Amino acid sequence: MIALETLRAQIGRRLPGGRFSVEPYEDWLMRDTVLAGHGDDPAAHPLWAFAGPQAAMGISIDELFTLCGAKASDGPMLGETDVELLAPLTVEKVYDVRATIVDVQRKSGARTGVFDIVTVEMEAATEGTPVARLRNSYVFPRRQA
Amino acid sequence: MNARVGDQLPRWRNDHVDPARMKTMALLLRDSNPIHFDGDTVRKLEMGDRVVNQGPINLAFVMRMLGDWAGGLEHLRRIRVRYLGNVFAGDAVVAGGTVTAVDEHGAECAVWLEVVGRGRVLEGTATVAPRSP
Repeated sequence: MIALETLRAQIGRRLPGGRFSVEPYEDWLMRDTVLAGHGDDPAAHPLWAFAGPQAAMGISIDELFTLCGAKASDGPMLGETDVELLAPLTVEKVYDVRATIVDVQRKSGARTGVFDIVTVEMEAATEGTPVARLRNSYVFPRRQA
Repeated sequence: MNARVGDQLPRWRNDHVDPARMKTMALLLRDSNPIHFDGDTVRKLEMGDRVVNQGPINLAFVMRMLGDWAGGLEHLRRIRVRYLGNVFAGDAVVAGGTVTAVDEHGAECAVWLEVVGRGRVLEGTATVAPRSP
């Protein structure tokens, strides 16, 4: 199990960040996947305020897991999500993403055993203007060998 | 939107959570976690024998319920949720909510998603306010 001090040293770590845009076919697939329907809405589905920044935070989900001393097969889960939509996202527009690890907590429960919660804040902006903020907490079960 | 505190939001129901959609979502999210597409991994992790719906899909079900009520997804301003449990392939789910505050800008709502017969798997709050096109 990763040492708590090692994990807590990640607090404040700025991830590389990146850019994303939503192609019309990707928005079609997103809407189809979440049963949102296909209207003439010019805005991208609001779940892109989750999917876009997470995909463009500069490291992959697998790399985030590695940074947190875990791998996908350990069964990490989402704990909490906070999505703030300052403006609707638009298809085919480029968004810049900044991402920072902002919190680490170690907890334990009788049923769950030890688990760590790592929180990442992300922001998507266009031409310097923020349009969406995302705060995700990832839960890492720490199964004993 | 003509909301009053205590109003129940019209519920939205999905009778069969489809595992094929989880595969598409894994690609859209660039999320390699195999519990969403590989039943063997789910069994190895002793999580049952059905693949697990992605949390963001569960979140989107609540967004759908809010959008239907508000007259469009573009009116959603903020949503904060805790994931309380898993939704598995084949489950039936219902999303709902209650208006908890109203002002000149919009409404605050308590929202939830429930697996039929098993209880709540997601709870949170949402802010909905009309947005001009």
